[in-house]
Amino acid sequence: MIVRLALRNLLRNRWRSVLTSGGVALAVAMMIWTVSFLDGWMGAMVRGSTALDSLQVQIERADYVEEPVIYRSFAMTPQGLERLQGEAGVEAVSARVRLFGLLGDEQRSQVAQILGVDPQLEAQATPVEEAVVQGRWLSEQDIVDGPGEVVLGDRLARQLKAEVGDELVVFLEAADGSLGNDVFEVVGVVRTGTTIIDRQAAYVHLERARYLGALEGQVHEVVIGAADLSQAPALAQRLSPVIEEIVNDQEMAVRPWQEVLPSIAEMVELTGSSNAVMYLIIYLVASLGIMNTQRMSALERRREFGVLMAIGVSPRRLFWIVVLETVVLGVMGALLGVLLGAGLSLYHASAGLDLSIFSPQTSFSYMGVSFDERIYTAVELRTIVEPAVVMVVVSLLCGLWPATQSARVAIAPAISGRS
Amino acid sequence: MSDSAAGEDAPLIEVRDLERIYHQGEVEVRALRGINLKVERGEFTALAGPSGSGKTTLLNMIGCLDDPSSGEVRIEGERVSGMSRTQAAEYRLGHIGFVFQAYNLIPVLTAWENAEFVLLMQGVSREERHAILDPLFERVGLAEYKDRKPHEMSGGQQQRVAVVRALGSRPRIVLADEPTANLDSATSASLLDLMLELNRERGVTFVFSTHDEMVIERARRVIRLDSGRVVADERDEGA
Ligand SMILES: Nc1ncnc2c1ncn2[C@@H]1O[C@H](COP(=O)(O)OP(=O)(O)O)[C@@H](O)[C@H]1O
Ligand SMILES: [Mg+2]
Repeated sequence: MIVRLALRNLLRNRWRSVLTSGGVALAVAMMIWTVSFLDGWMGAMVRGSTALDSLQVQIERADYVEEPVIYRSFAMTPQGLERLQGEAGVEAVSARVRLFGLLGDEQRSQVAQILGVDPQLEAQATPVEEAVVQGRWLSEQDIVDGPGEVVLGDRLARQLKAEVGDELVVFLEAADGSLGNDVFEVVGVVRTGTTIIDRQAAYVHLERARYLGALEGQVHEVVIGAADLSQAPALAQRLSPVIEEIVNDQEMAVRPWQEVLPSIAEMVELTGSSNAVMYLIIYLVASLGIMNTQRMSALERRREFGVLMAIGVSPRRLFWIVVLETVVLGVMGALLGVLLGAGLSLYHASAGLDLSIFSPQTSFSYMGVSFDERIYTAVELRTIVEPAVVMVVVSLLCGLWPATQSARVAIAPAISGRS
Repeated sequence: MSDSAAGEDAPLIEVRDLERIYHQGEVEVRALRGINLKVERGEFTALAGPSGSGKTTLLNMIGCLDDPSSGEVRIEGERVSGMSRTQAAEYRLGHIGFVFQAYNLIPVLTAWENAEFVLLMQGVSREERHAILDPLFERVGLAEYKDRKPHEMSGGQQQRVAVVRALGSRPRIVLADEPTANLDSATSASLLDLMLELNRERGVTFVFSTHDEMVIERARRVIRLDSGRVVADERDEGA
């Protein structure tokens, strides 16, 4: 009966109820959409900045993290990699030798990072193969005789004025202190959008790089691809003992992307706190609306409340009648907001949001990562449920004050219409 | 034990030296200036007096809707003045039915729901609610109007629903503050007749206020108020 009373009272002032719950719905929808947009954007940023280089978890020797010196490598066998690949949460694994050397021809040369990779594993773990803009990705088998294959970052290629088919020479100091040199033929050029790769990377076959750097059986890093970005620290923790078993002669560092790229992690955290501020602002406005509505309707119904109490409704019961009414208003608004917000977010999750309306460029670059013009919202259950639940709680709180006022109404003057 | 024994002997309503002073800023309004009266079970009593004489104030005190400035009200020997709001609400729910001048009914509830509301709060079962209310609706001639909202009924019909609601809670006392004030004289007469008949049939005590002489004629006891004092207390010997 009390619920019926609440519903009927809300229906009585249809317009006001619609307006108020509409406002609530708008707030909830805004919150859902904004959070999923920011989640989507942050996700894209983290994905983008970790996709090619560090990936989500990076394994190196602890002292290599301090200073990346060529001889601070560790032994890694295909069996070891397979073992890592088999761990839960690991999607892809790639082992690399990373050599810093001089790359060029008679006319010009550039400092480059020679990345010795297993072409197949690297292409599985990173989108490097899709980033090829000229030529092709490394072939599965290296040519043993003659020049090796190299795939260059596009800016590096431009600076070297190197094209597919050109030959380049590498010089570097090998792990044993000797001078390593080799000849490579450019088979492809990649444009990844990750600045460091595009400017410096020269992908070659792993064995060739090992030979060049006098690093038989060694690697500098193993990178791990994981689906769940936020779970990377937990994954790193789980992998730590595994890697200790595989590499038992070195002190190893297993770092999630949050540690490898602290500025990006900070950015994500900052977004989280800006969400909280938004909650505060949007919900404050909404709650003022609810409070005002309920206060007004409570004032208008003083006489009715007086009669209710006269016929035996206790002040406490009247209090809950008013609170319930407010909560019903909030719940209706929240449900509507969920429909609206989730609908729009889901649409933008599949269709993407065209950001080129804000900027004339077709793609933009942010923190060393370039995005294409579409951002896809990331819709999670939590993103939808949380704003709705918070709103229901807020509406309950908003009902408390008008309800308290109503329960305190002096019965006799209320009934006789005296104020 | 002794209390209930006292309750049996005590008058149904006993008002002692009742005063009520309203403070309106600097101004003191002495609405009741020492009222003493007793109402016995089954009486049909009118509080008569000009507007401003204190009828509403007195009924509010008896109905535990407001507290006196001094003096007290006892119902069945039990002091009902000075209870907490919650206690008073509980007391009213169990003992007193109200009919007000207007706006008696909750506008969003149907006639039936309005009457049922009190019984729901009393925790009366569905069957019992029907057993109590169906005959009452029948009795007041509104059996066909149960599903109407207040605004779909005439003023007289609304007041009759209020009477049903008041009697439905099976109270000791029904207090009615100018129940006919908004009705034309024919409707007033029939409402009064109805109340009088229910008073006879059910033995429920009615105390109502009015300033309408036609209504006063129908009462078996008339207590006249003026300026917050009882100026006359007449019983119709014939009844
Ligand atoms: N809440 C109040 N505040 C101030 N004065 C009041 C209040 N209620 C009643 N009065 C005054 O008390 C006197 C008695 O009022 P009331 O009991 O309503 O008389 P009646 O019902 O006989 O017309 C009047 O002078 C009225 O103005
Ligand atoms: Mg009055």
